[in-house]
Amino acid sequence: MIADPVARAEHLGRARATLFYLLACAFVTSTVMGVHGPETPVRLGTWLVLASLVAINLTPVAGRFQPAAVTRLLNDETTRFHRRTSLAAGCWVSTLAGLVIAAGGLALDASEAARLIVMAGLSASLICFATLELRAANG
Amino acid sequence: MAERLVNALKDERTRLGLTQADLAERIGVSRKTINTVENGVFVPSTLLALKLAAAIGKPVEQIFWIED
Repeated sequence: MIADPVARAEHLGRARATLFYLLACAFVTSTVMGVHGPETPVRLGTWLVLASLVAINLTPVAGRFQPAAVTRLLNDETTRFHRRTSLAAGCWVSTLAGLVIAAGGLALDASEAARLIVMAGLSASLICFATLELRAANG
Repeated sequence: MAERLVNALKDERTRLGLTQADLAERIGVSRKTINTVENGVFVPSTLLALKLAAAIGKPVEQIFWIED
């Protein structure tokens, strides 16, 4: 375990960014499979849990299980700026996804359309946040 | 042409023999925050700019200024 808070926050920040890319992939896969496959309560429940997990990870709550000094560094000024930027990007991608679904005449029911819109917004936020964080750490 | 905030943070930090991590630790931010401020990618808040100036030991206007 890394004792220095700055070094530990750096390590955890990079791990968080990598995890976000993987989470985005898992979320997109789960959503697409759910839309094309048969609807079951288990499948819907799994998707709801995953969506909630993704949403929670985009809040400062996710880093609260570390020592106070590390938690503060994992949610410092740059991270908050990246979070705001990525949530704004997610909002625009959700809007775009909604417009495409509405205009495209796709054969989707309301639940499927909602899941695709949520998936688009949250996945875009995850990818945007991870990219900004890694770019800031590497630059 | 748009105004932009430029800084001498990297020069001043290296003059003092500090790494980005050292400066980050002094003011309680992550290393990536120091990195993005130095590169001009991130415009710091007034609070952070004042903390950085205090850690460097110079007035804030000697660390940050506006360039046309």
